[in-house]
Order: sequence, then structure tokens, then C-alpha cells
Amino acid sequence: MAGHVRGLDVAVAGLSKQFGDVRAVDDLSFTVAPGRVTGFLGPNGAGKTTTLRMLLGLVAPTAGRATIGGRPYAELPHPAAVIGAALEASGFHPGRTGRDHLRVLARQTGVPDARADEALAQVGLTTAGGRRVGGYSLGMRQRLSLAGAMLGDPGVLLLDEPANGLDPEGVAWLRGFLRYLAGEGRTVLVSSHVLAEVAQTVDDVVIIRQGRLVRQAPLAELLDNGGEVVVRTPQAQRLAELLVEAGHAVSTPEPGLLVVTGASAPDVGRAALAGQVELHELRTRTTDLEQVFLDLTGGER
Amino acid sequence: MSRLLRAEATKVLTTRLWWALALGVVAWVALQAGANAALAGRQGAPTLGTDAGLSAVWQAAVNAYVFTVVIGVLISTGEFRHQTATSTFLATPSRSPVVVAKAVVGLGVGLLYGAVGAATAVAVGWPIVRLRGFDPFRDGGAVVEVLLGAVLASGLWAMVAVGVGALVRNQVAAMIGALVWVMLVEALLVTLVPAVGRWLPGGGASALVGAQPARGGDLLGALPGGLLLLAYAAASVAVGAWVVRHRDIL
Repeated sequence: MAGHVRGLDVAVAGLSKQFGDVRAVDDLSFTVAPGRVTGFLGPNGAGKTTTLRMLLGLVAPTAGRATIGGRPYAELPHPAAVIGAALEASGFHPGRTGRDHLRVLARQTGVPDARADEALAQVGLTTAGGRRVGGYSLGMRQRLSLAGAMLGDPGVLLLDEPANGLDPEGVAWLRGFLRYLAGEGRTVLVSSHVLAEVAQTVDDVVIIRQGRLVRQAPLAELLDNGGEVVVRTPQAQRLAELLVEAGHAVSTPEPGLLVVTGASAPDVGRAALAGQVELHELRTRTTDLEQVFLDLTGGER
Repeated sequence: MSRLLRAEATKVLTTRLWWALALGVVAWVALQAGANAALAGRQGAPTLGTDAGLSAVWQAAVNAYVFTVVIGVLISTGEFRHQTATSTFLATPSRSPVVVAKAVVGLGVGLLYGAVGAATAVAVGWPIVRLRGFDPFRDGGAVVEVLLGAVLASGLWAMVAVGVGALVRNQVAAMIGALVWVMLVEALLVTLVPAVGRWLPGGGASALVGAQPARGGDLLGALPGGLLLLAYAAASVAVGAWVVRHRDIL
């Protein structure tokens, strides 16, 4: 299958949408690259879903352009083979079975009925396929939604909050599935309002707030705090002096605790040994994902 | 278009609604045809010996339209109610052809319900008319005309309803609005103010089965009545298709 997969750039440029008095999306521009999983992040109501709907030609932009491989959705010759979407508010008739739901989608997109069963198998719903969707759990609906997006074997996937309602096992499965799809060269855009939920899955992030772009960067860049080491010692003042002498910046958030910037843990350990300072704790501080996210989106903890 | 027709037909056939409503047609038409046949000649109703009295039995078939209107509205509004509109219009970004396909499938279901209604009217009416000592088919041509008219009216009603559903979107509002209109407002206007009523869709449908209001032959003929209903169906689908094309799908 991997041979014919064609990931395309997904781009929005100067995109805006006005709903009455509300500017849901405001002069938004970003590009999503193939072969990577990109997290589309922002608090609830930031304009993520509206942006995705404009990309898919379901909502008409007030201004700007949204394109897939340089073309607006409406101009794609065979959209299902180019881009698949699982939007949060894309539902199912509760009285229809999962398999019939996919057959309907297959018929309206013009792919063979057999794809319905393949897609069911891909998301692990083969046995549940004959049951009515009304009896499905939220996690099963998410999987069915994903199967629908995969029907045309598209090179681009837009998934709106796909981890909602999944149990930890399901989240782990989804992570593997998305990595696999990106590994095949597909463009994968995943929206979420919780950075931690997608942090282990995404390569890049696009963060928006109140319809505006806050940050677009590789995740690694977002998490790089320049190296911070936390040390706990009864001789805090002595160690701080030694570290400052060695050219490191030191702060003391509480008595007996030092936060060293611009040094590695071995640097600090070595300095302590040389100065015969007793250490009770020495560790590298990893970035608090939620804090970074909240700082960027202006939320309160 | 054949792709869309197949998809829309599959949508109708993969839930239990269509045959549940078909059973409704049987029950409702059986009640009306039975009542018309049993009560003819009583309380001032024309007897089965008159043309009006006998055709009222067959005209009961037209009551299938209640269920036809219901399924027509559901075919359109169900997409918005269950939010399947998103995947539907992702598959067909030009959108309008979807409404046309729904109208064609609706026409098929409406014709089917009309045929079920016609069969029910005959199955229930015939033995009662016989029991009461009249010849049910003394004018066979007239019976065929009435039943054929009922089938056509049912099909065209479905198209009207599909267009209305696409326009209104809200399932509850569209359903209540459509049923109040056809069962109450139109029924009253056709009976009490035929000068207005005969130009309404329901007036066209009544004319199509050769029904005439009690106080005089003010309705159109069967052919112009049918064409009038067809015009309403076409207009309704056209407006629904245009609106769906231009509104955001949220």
C-alpha cells in the first residue's frame, strides 16, 4: 500500500471566519507537512474545528484560502482518495450497523464495497461491524470514524479530537496507528485541546488561541527549556557560590533547593564533589507540557 | 448521479424506518378505506351505488401521503440530525446533486408507499363493497385512474418533503410544520376555500385522484392537478438544493 501513498501539504493562508459578532478564526496561516504527525492544538473554542471545516469546504471562509496540495477541497477531482477526515461532529445513524455505515460512505465516495470491510479490520472493528452503531461505545465510534476517513486510502488525514473517549489501551493503539500512517508518507493533522494527550504522538505542533496562530514549531523546539538542573542540598548557599563561579545561572525557589540553568547534571555533580557539598537530590528538569501549553494559550491552571 | 442514487438508496434501506412506515401506510389506508366502504350511504354520505361513494373507497389510498411526507422529511433532515451531513458533503462537495439524488430516491419510496396504499385500499375495500351488495369494479377504468393517481401523488409528495427537509434542516420543526400544513391547513383550505385550496399541493394531489370537495367541483382536473403537484415538487427540490449548496455545514 505504501507505494502509492501521496502526502500533500495542507495549508491555510490569511484564513478568517466571522460568525455574527464572533471572529472564530482570525487571519490564520500555517502549513502542515507530509510524513509527519502534526498536532493542531488550542483550548476549546479556539477555532480548531472551524478551521478544519474550512479546509474541507464545509464552511465558507470569510477571507483567505485553505488548500490541500495547493487546491481548495471543492476542486479536488476525487476528494476521498486525497484527504480523509474524522470530525468530532460527524455522526452516525444509530439504527445503521457499522458495516452498513461504511458501505454508505463507500458508495457515495465511489470506492468498492470491499473497502468497508478492509477499513473495519484496520481499526479492529470487524466483529462489531454487524451491530447497530447506537450500541457502540464512544471509543468504538472513534474507531468507526477513523475507518470512514481511511476508506479512500487518502494521503492526507484530518482528525478532530480522535483520542476523545478512548481508554488508555485505545490511546496507545491510536498513537501507533498515526505514527504508522505518517511513516507511510501521509500527512496527518490531529486536533486536540490537551497537549499532553498528543505529545507522545506528534512531531510538530500548530497552536492557536482565539482564532489566531500562537506558535508553529517542531514539538522538540517547544519543549527545549535550555537545560535546567534541580539540586537539593543542605549546603545550598555554598553550592550556589561554586556554580556561579563556574559561570552558571542559579536561582533558589525555596531553601535548600537550587535550579541551575545552562548546566548539565554531570556539571553540577562534579562541582559539588569538588566543593565537598552533600547532595540529597540531583535531576534534570523536563518541561511541564501542560504549563508550556497554558503559557502559550494564556489559560489558567 | 448513479453513484449518489445508490448511496442514497442504501441509506434508506439500511435502517428499519422504511418498512416500519410502510406498515403505517397499510394500517392507515386500511382504516380509511374500511371506514369509507362501511359508512357509505349513512349519515348523508353518498352510497356505494354512486360514483362519488364508490371512488371514496379507492381514494383512501391517497392517505399514504402522510407517511410519504414523513419519510421524505426524514431523508433530508436525518443527515443533519445525526450529523452524517459532514461525510455526505465531503463525498460530494458540490452538494446540490445530493439533494436531487435524495429527491429521486424519495420519489421511488413515495411511489412504493402509494402502491402499498393502493393495494391496501383494494384489499380492504373490495370485500366490504361486495358484502354490502355492490359491484366494486363496475367502472374498472375509473378505479385504475384513482389508484394510479394515488400512487403518483404519493411519489410527488415525497419530493416536496425532501426539498422542505433540506430547506428547514431541523427535524422536529420540519416534521411538525409539514404535517400540520398537509393534514390541517391544506385540508381545511381545500375543503372550505377551494378557490385557494386548489392551487396548493394538497389541492393538486386531491385532483390527481379525482376527489372533489363536498360543496362543488372547484378543483382542477386530474392532469393539471398532477402537473401542479409536480411543479411544487420541482420547486421544493430546487430551493432545497440551492440552500444546501450555499449554507455552511456545521
